[in-house]
Amino acid sequence: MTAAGRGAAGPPALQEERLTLHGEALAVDVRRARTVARVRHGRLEALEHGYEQYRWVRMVSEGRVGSQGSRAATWDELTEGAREAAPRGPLAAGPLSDLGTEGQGLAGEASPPDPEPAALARAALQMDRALGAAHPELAGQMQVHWTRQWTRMVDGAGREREWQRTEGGAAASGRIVREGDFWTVGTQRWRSAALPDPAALVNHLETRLAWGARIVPLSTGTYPVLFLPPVAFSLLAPIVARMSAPAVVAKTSPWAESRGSAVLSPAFSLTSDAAVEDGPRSVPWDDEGTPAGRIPLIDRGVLHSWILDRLAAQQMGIAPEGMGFAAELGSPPTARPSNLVVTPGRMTWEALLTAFPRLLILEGWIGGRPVNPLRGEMAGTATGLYVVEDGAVLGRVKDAVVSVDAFEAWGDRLLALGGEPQWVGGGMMQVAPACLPPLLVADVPVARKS
Amino acid sequence: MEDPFAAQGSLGLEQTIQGMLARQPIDYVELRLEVNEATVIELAGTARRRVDHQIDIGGNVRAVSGGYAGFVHFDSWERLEAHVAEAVALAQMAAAESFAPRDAWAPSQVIQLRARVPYEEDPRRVSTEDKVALLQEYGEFGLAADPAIKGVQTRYFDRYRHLWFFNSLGSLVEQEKMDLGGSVLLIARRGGAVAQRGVSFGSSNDFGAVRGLDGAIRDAARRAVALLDAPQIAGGEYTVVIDPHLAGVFAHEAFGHLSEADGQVDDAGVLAAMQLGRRFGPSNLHIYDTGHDAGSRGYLPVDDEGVEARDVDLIKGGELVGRLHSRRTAGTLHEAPTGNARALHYRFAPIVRMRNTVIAPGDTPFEGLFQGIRRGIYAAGSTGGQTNGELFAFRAAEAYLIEDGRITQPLRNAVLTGNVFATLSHITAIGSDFTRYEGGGGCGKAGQMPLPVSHHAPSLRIERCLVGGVK
Repeated sequence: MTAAGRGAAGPPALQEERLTLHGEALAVDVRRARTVARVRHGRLEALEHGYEQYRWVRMVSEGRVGSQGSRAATWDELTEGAREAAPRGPLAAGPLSDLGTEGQGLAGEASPPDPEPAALARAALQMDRALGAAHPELAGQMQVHWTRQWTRMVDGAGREREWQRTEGGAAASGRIVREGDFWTVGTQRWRSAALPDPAALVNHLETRLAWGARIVPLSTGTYPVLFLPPVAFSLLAPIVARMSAPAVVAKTSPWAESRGSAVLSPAFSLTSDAAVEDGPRSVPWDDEGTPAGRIPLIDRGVLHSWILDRLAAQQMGIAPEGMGFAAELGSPPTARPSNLVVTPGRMTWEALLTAFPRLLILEGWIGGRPVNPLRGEMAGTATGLYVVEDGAVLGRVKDAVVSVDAFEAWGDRLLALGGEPQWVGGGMMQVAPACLPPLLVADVPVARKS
Repeated sequence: MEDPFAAQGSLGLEQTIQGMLARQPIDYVELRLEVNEATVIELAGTARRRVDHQIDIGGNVRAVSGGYAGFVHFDSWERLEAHVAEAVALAQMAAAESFAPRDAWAPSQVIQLRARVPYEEDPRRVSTEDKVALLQEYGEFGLAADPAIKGVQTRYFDRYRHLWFFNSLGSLVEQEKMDLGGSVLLIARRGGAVAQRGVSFGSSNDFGAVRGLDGAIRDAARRAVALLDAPQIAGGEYTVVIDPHLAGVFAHEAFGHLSEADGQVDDAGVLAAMQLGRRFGPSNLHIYDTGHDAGSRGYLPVDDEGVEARDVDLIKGGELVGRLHSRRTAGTLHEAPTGNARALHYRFAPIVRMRNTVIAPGDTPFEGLFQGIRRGIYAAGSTGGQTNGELFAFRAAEAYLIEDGRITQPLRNAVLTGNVFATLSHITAIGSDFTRYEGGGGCGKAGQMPLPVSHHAPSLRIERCLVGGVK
């Protein structure tokens, strides 16, 4: 591999070592620097900075695939470890990577400079003070981060690719507690080459604080519900589970024989898009060295592609499509989409709000994950449920459980998709970040406590 | 790979590090070094999907100036002095950017100790091949348990951590931690109907927790197949009886997180809601958090700030009597640290977390919990839960309809929800069937997941619990 240093924009100086690969093999070197400013309840709680490095080697030895990764081992140790692991590994079913023959990769020459830690602190404090000035009771939590990640890959034929990406992110949330009423609002933003505008997050929270200032009654019943992106995102989880290895390989997925068939609403199209602007997983190659592009998963309701890592695809006789990503730095790649992108609809925000004389908006819930990921039934306690009448938000609803079947929500009960998508994701238990619009769903059961 | 700390000779390095920390021009600084060794195995049926063995070396520095913290984490142990200097600079920058001084952190005793793992059976002495073979047996066994079982997913991990904690006060803690766990998930499918049930296991000192699971797997397979034809639960309010596993999740999610003081400091509304002495439940309700239960995944004799564990009564006699602290939150609320500052690993700063959260047993026999229920829900096991302080939701792995005091039929998709304060006051019976459940999951907070925790509890009966359902 080439020397790591790239001046001010280069990775942290770590000792470079010799790497020799032969045959069918791939080596990946990822280095990451991340700075975070955290403000909690009006005070700058901490400034944090971290350096991480993770390297792994995957190779074929005697017909089986072995891999070894570490934050500390040398290349020689990793290569030997991968060779030793191969007899216990799966049977090789094809080439281990596809780094191409062209001179590809983003060297990062146009990459923005890293902001100073103090700039992150000021952005977080700016959000907190703006919200605190208007809402003295609000206990806010603000976080602003900046991440730079360098990736290098080299295969057994000596092909080498490297690229880097940056990400600026901000999250703002707040809670007002009055006599046992814990009223919580929050949002997050990120961009690929700059810090998000703090004012955008403040405006978002101001709107929610205005919407929810009044608690309004609601009867148990079924309602048209507008699922905003943070909640709509959780409705994608069962869709992804049914399309992913290992459920497809083991045929435990009800869609295991449905490729090419209509499975959801014709209004619904879902893409794994590694080229979309500001996508947290917008990269030229996935974590297995497969070119990552724009892969239609569901096209106008028809199941188009599975979500398979390289080995699963090869075992099924399908060309790998660049959907092998690690859940986090330090874990091996598994079947995951790059960025999940739901094609927006045409309805404006105003048109969505006036689609019914009375509808509900759901922007937050807790517990909203399926008991069984392959079965789309979900229920969650609403933390951001608002009543809309004649296009105007009347207030928020407390003590309500919203229940929904994700396959119905993206299927027969899907009424409309909004035209303004939003990035969500990046949390602890999410398979991929997603960019998706609000969706309006018919006949959603809402149970209230008496 | 050799343990570099041992190779360098521990005593000399300790003195060097403590000298370096003591020289820093700042209120307080601490350094944590770690060597972590992990084995992860994942099988699909009997096929190996992942067999990893990995060693990480790294550490972090936390410095405090005027109550404000700078934190730096790093892989490898190179350039320690530079990392310390950077953390000091970040803390000073944080203090300079802020307007108001913070409360001082609660003092911690200077301690020097070694904490070893009290092993029953050390998982590191079991070869990877033997571990894989055992899990493959479970895969085979599960697939053969019923024709409707179409898939078995097996997951196993053991994580050994060897830590050295130093601070500028002179404390030195050398601590070993072991965490092992996993699950065997059985997936039944018949046409478009899919159901799953799992067996989960966990321990902080015993590979024996992984052995002898055949009976539990057979039982889980039977339950998964039974769920295939189960009707969807109807949403609404019910009297519910929850088994010890779910009761433990309830204690953790519904009340334990609310007791973490970092969610209370500087928030007058929460502090008023969590005023000590407030009545929260029946007079026989006793909930506490402990780090002393050797073998449980929440075992933690010393926390990640070098504070020795205290048992903390949270609710006793039905009244709120305590909360969980780090040094920072204890200082702000003028209380004592409790040994609850925990970090997932060296890439995170410690925050307030639970350890083993326990509901003490009551005196109602299991059968007595069902008396007089005309129509209710019996919920057992959990696939997870969540809270926002006031509200909670947890997913029951299994649910059954109770009619006239008897369990009559299985139901699917039970999500139990409610208001924490109201639900605690709606506990009307505490079972005598206290159970030390140890699962292979973990707790998530502020991006740190899965942190090993435990919850031990008896069954509970709760009135007027709101249950979600599509019907």
